[in-house]
Amino acid sequence: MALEGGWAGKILRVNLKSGEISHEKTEKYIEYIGGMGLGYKIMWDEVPAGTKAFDEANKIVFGVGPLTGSGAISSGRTNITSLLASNPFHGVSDSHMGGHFAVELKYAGYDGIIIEGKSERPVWLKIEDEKVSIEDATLYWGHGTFQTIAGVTAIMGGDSQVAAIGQAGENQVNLSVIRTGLSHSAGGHGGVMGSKNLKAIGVKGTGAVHINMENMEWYKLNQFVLSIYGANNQHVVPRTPQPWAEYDHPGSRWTAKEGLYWEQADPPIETGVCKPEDSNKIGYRTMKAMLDLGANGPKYTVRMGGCAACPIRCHSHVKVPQLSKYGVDPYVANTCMGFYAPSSIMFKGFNVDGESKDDATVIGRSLGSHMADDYGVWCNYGQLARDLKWAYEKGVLKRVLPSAEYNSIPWDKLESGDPSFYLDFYRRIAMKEGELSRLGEGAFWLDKRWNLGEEYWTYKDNKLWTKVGYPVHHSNESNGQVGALISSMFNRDAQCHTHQNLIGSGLPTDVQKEVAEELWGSKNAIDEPANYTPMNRGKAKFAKWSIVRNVLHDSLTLCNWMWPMTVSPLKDRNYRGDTSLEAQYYTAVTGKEMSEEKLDQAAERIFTLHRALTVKQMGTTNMREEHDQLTGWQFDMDPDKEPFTAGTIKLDREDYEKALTMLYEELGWDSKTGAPTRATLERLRLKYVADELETMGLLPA
Amino acid sequence: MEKENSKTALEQIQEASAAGFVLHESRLCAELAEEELALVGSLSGKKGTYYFDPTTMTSRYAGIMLRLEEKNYLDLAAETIRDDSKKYPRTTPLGVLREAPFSFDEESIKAILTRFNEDPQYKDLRKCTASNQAVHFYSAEHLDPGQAEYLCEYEEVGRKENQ
Amino acid sequence: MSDEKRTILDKTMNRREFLRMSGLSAIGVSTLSWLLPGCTSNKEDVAVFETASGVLIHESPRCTGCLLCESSCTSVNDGKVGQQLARVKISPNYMYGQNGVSGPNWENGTGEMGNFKLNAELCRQCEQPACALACPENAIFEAEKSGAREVDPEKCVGCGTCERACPWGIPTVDTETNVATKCVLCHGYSACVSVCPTGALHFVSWDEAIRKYEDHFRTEEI
Repeated sequence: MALEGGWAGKILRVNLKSGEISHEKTEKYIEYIGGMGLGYKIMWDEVPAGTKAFDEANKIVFGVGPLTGSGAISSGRTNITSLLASNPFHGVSDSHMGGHFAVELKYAGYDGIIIEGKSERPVWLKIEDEKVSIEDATLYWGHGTFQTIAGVTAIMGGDSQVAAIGQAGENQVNLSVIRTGLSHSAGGHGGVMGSKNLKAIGVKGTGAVHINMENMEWYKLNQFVLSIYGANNQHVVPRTPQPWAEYDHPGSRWTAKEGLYWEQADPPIETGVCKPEDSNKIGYRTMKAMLDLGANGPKYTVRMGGCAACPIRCHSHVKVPQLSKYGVDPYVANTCMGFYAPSSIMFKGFNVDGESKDDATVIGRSLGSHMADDYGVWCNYGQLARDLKWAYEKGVLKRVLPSAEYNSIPWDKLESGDPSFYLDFYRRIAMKEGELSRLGEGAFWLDKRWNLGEEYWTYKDNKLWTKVGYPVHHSNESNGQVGALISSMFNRDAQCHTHQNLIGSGLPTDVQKEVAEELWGSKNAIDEPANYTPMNRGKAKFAKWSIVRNVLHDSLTLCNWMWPMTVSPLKDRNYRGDTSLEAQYYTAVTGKEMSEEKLDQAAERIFTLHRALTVKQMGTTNMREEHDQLTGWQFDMDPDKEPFTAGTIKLDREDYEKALTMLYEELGWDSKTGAPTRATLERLRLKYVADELETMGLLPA
Repeated sequence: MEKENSKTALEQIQEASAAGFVLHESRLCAELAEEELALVGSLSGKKGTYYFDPTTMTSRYAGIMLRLEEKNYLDLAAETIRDDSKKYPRTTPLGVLREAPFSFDEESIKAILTRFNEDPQYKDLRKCTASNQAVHFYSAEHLDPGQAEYLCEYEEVGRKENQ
Repeated sequence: MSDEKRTILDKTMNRREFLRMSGLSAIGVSTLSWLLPGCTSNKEDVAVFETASGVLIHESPRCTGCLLCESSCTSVNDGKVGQQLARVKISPNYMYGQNGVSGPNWENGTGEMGNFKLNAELCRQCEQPACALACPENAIFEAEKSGAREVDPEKCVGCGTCERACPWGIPTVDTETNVATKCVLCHGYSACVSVCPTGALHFVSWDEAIRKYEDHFRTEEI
């Protein structure tokens, strides 16, 4: 059956060794939806177990889905799947980026790009609709992402989109990104592109995504989604008390209020009060600059920005003229960790001559953000900074760095808060200069090399979640065992916001508990923050649902930083959202009738395939012991407090094992090992996976 | 004021609410008819009854405006803190009281804090300080001190580390 | 048509000139729309267009580049979503502005990669529409209610003359149907305007458009 809507219908395959360019039909992959699902399926079928991230046999898949480019709300994300070099066993993982690359790829007529083989010389991939060619990239090699993207665009035209790596990716730094647009980075796989000598991908598409629903019906469906949309992270209450709102929360990203301006806009633009029904003001709800850049963020803000088809403008676009002093363009944009992670590299704070503390913070964070982006260095969700701090303060650097190298590093700038430290620091990491650059290998490899000791892993403020070498990302601070479980299931930091968005929505815990009862059958799926109860079935269901929807969104593709619509800002809906919208979208776009339950099952298939890939790559079924164990601080923190008492997010060892068991049961995985069983694999139409695992002796008994 | 007089009492209330205020009964141009009463919300303060339009203003916000109208800053601060501790639960950053709609000046805040310390009817209100030195308040009647400390620290520091 | 209306129209038609000049006061002399580039048709019979009911305008400082306008435009009008067909054209200028990557100084140009200013090309529903005047099939007509200039798909042969004739390249031939499409003001309901999350797009009367320019409207170089 031909695909009539949503999917473009074909996937581009490019072999950089032979230069062969071919197509796959998307039809054979639609059980895996697209994006992340497409990536895992191709990795399973085509990349043998034991392959390393930078081996020629590794592949990298840029996947988009049936909703990408359809105008569905917040459907502009690209999912990138490959082996991850910073992971101890080079497990499969995903990195994601927003921007406009994903929609451009769809308009060019592709649901994905499979890159395989290795080019002998630096190249970039040029895609103009069906015209695809491999071009010489000698000119761009050795340059940062900004020059590269501009160079490719100069050739392809202003209406193209480019994804590129910086020097970090070229040099196969484990912690490197693939970047698109001005401020969108996918962390982790830059080095895979570098290992293949692929500097950039340029895309220009003149086609369209077909919608299988009557025009005005599709329009109305999107209008409905907008009517229940909140602010960034689906925060549904304003940050300050406002006449329209029954609830408010000082942690909410619904920052809009009277007197808050994009001050560098010409003329300055006031965000004002943005009520839920003011759909033409949704883009003003979140003034991210005041969160990303501190008190003086608004003073430098030209406007907000973000991704294709998303009304939530979560990227701060600032003009910081002081940056010219550092030889950097004054226009910088980023969001969240893009500003915060570089900021924590300067862990002694910022200090700039003649500038207030608040101005120095803006200058420092925007400079750090620009340097990291240009070199294409990934922060490992903030871990890079914590590793630097640990190694510096514990005297590790003095021990492991040759003294000439140690003395050549401008530590005085770090000490005094001079942001020009970034220029030196990121260069060393990206260019693999000296021993310091080992920081760019990631926590696991760093410990191996520098022998950081057990204390490195068990020290709470290092935030290392498991021995796989990634940090906390909405873990035990996010509803106890629920966030903890979610954080242990992937091969890098969990990039799941499903649970976090509900907990951070700003609604009182009691309202959240009502929602939990409706969705997961138990009010006890949610606890008051830092007043947790022991593990229960509702939490296991909540954790599973959170992961399943996260995987679903990265496959469709929708932004999991907004979706699902678990709650809404509307009092007359009793703050309920609508969890069936993904299925409604799917049906509308593809013309294939889809229920919420069936779509969740497809996502469960994708997530189980991820687990099977991990089992296959690690060569063991013992996921519980070998993969899912925590570093320890989670159980030993707050020594004067017991787990499940008010005021701590401490977990309990026995309870955590029980939590794993319950989650395994919910997913139909072997309750002892946490590996997928044949029965479950077959239920999810993954019999071929069960068969292959069996031949490898990797099916649980 | 001729224009003012041409409005009905209901319109007066609706306009006040749209502008973000509650209206004291004494300022109504006429008594509210029964069918008008069904359309408005009312709250009792120390100095009488206040009206608001529930289609543009929540009773929670009307409550804040009523206290502000009556310059009853002490109760407003105490009720806000207790409400936050009980309902969400969360601690209340002192900074919130400096911002709209409260907009307390430093002198008022100082006076409020003194009363919190001295007056036994506020003895449930406690202070906690995050590692960035930000001060929050909570009601020990509704929130465990340890939990309050955690929540205060998370709001000020943890939230930025967990984005 | 009233003199007043004509003056307003001429001013708006002459927006290019208008924008190059420093202020509205400089716009005293009206340039006839016939002089616009591309308006070379001598078909007198089509020069009977009445003013459309209003015009779409784009407030650049408010635009954040989500391009929901383009996706809504195409989904409502074409049943499919793309950038090429969109009648609100921001995507071509989105990254590096109208001048693209020209030379080493793109950081200071417009666009997402430059000074963040995003410019839109919108259909002016010209009084003397170059697209219609150039059309060899007389396929572009004035819609009854909205006054928008619309393409009659029965008459259109997809030759692309309209696309080339329009100074702003608004009409676009749909390569799948081989029929030209252009902004029809959504037959009186502007999908792009209603979806814009920052209120950067407006559908306004001609008088209002001029007033907006006078008040605070900043438009970039064309």
